[in-house]
Amino acid sequence: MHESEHFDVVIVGAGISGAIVAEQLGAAGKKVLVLEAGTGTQDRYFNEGDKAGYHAYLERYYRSYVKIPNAPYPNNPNAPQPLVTDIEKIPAGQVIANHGYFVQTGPNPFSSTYTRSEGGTTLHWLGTCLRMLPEDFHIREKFGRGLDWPISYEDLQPWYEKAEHGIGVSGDAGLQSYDAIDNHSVHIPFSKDYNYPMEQIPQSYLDVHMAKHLRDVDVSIENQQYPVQVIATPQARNGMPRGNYRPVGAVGYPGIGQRCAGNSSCVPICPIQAKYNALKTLHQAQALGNVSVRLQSVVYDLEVNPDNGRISRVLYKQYESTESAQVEKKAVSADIVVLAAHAAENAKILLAANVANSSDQVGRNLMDHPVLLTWGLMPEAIGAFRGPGSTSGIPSLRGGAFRSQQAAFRIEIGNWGWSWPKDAPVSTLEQYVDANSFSGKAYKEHVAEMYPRMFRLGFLVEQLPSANNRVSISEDYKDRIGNYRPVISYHIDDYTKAGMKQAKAVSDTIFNHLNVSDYTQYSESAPGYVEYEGHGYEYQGAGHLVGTHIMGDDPKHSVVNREQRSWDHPNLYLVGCGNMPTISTSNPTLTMAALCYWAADNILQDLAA
Amino acid sequence: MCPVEPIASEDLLHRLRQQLQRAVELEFSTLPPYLTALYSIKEGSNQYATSVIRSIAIEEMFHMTNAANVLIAIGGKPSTTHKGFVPRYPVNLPDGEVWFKAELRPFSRSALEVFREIEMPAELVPEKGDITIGDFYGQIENTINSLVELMGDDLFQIGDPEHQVDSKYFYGAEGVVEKVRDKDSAMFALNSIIAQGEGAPNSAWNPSIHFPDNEATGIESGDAQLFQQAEELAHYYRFDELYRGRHYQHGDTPQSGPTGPSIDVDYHNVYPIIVNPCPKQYPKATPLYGFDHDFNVIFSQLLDTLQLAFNGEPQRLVTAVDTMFSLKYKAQQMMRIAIPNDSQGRHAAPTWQYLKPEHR
Repeated sequence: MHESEHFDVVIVGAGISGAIVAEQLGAAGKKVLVLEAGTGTQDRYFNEGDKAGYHAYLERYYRSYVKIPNAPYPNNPNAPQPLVTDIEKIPAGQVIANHGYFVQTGPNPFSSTYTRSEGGTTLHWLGTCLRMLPEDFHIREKFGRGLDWPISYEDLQPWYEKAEHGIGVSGDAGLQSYDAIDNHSVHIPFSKDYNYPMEQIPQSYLDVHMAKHLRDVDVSIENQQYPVQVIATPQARNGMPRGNYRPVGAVGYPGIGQRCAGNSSCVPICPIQAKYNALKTLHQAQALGNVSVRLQSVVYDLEVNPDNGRISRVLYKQYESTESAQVEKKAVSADIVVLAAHAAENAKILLAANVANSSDQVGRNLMDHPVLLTWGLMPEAIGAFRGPGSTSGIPSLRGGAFRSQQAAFRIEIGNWGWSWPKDAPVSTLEQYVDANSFSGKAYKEHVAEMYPRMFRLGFLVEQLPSANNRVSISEDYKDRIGNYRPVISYHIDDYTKAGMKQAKAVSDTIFNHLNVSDYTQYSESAPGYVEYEGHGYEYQGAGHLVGTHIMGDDPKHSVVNREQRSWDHPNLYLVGCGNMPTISTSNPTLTMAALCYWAADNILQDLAA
Repeated sequence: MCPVEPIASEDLLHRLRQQLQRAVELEFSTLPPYLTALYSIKEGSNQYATSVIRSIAIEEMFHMTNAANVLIAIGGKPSTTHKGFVPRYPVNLPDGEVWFKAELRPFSRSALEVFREIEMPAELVPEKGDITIGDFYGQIENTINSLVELMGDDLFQIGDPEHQVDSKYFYGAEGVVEKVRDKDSAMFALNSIIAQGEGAPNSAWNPSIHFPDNEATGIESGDAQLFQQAEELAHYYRFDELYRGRHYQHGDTPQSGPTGPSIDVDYHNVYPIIVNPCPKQYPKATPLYGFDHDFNVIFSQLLDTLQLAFNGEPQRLVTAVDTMFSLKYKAQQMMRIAIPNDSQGRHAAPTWQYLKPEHR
């Protein structure tokens, strides 16, 4: 057998986690190879001949009729990706295996997706960069629910700071400490004199309107009063820099994207890359000369040296073209192997290779934020469909004593009217012209009357880790080049449903105070329809796949230790949202990024030893 | 007490304020020609040309802001809304360059010819002695030197520094605005204008000698040296590349012209807009009259915003971004429309008029 190529570190996956670890290690002089399953644009903004640039994504987005999160990013049968249009109701006892990439066994459908291309899901994320609350790290100890992390907020705090500067977050630390909220549970300590690298993105007209009208509004949960307080959301979106920080523009076209220009298409694609995506970090990583990214290389197995338990080789299938299933099998070796392929894909690879799973926890504890949407019409125009998708939220119910009984949630204030619940404005023509026979002047007047008043909230409800919510694999379900498809079992428990019920009650209070006419409707036929205490609710996926290889203090009940190293294999690191034992109420990317900076530091120490 | 000095410095200061106001006008006057050409390109086509003209237009805004900051530092009040601030094209640029006229044209070879003239370095002008933008700033620097001899750095502390535009409003790949505090920062601001337009000043440079890699040659913009940003050519040479359809490469000189890879320029994917449009071309009560009026209202709001931003309210620049988008969309909307019954099949284009509030 011929020798395989050897690197200091091989990283599987060129999304944000892989990019951060690669950049950190490359900057320290380590030779790093990143294997990416999907296709990519490398450093091109414009297309160059037949080589697609970022612009090809834009063209695809403009042309697509259904503008779902993955609309700009081509579907690739050699590295398939889930689509929100795949999701359907799962009849009891059945398996949905013929509709998209996921195989779903239910009972509830798993509604979230991700992107398998260079840059990963940051290509279509919204950019929300919230820190977790200190109490989120200890919900078992404090509330008797879920799991505790092996680390505390204080441990992660310096890495949050590093992440906020590394990916470029706009915000105001004074506000994000939530000190102004009359609910001690949500307060987040920030270092003295610390601030985000860029000033807060301006709040939308809607945000300001809501903040004004909800100033004195309280809600009662489990016999305690909590404020309903609007606070600007920190975002990985370029704004005005503080001090010497310089915002990073588009990869391959750095003159654009230096600041958010309100194109209002953050999801699925920021045309100028003012919103962070991992292509930026990958570009920085490769510019230093120690990091190379190999596209169209799908890792399918890990070889273990039986003498010492070390991962000896990483096996991958490389394909020339997405048009053909023809692959060449290759292998590389490295002192340290890092899986950064995404929570679902990491689990798949580990299960396929049968490694790192002495705890039997690989693939388990899959979580998301089931999102309850509520929508209505404001009494007057509030400037819907302008600016970034969301610029503020209501974080005051993210924590509190009620978490012993019901899920907490964060409320996202949507700036794009009914785009999420009703697919506005794309559906407008269909809905009003075709279905309601509006035409001409009447149609224009109707749109002009309705659209500027459209308003919606999104409640990101906490979900607890559960062994039965899992990604598994089966010989029966493979993709075109013979790799496993994720088999997903998922259910929404009563703790989360109680949170949904509470969320709807809070929504009613908010709508009342703002004189919003409620148009919210949950349909029994919708995939995400659930019932609780006689009422129906409907959840959407948030795209926050968390917890398939959780970290812990005990090798019997967790997959990685607090260093994010596999308990079973001394040279295997797992990174990404899969490491998070609980999801709580913050969008997980910032926490994942912070953990990645920390993991890179641990890897450097291992390499030095 | 010495009566001579204060009078001399008052006169000089007055002269310098006039010169810097003229500089603001000069930089601004390049924008309607550049933006007209930029907006005339059909969206999605001419990607490289679009990125070049856009980048240069942004650098002109950077130059205008630099000139305004120096003017604010010496106690002047930049004006962007007085009668005559916006020239009527075709026009000689306000710095006294009488050897060509700036024009509003669709993206074309003839437009690029004018753009090259606007940005031409002194070494390349047709007649020795023809004034260039670089010469004009040289005169300003002379006045500054004379005044600094009289007043020292106090010259730059007359105005309220809070009224200057801070780097947080202007940063990134097209330069970084820094507040002016002393002679060095004032000269830095003015030199970066010359460097980006005509090429990095380098007195030792001999234009006929080839240059090795990574050595300053005079055709770079100075962005690498001044702002630690990606190296790029000065405006003149970037327009020359488009004009000739070919990139400069290492080894090229201004005399050799560009000999690098070819550039895809497609003059057909451009709206054939009217050259130097004026308001009387659009009869009252016609839709085009309305579009042009709408454009001018937005344009006027933009100038009002600049007036306020340069006179104590720099935070106004935040909303100016939005106004620029409105301006672009309105211009593109007009340019898609063929002028009714025009024998040459020309399309409409905005007239760039400042309207007083009562006329909006």
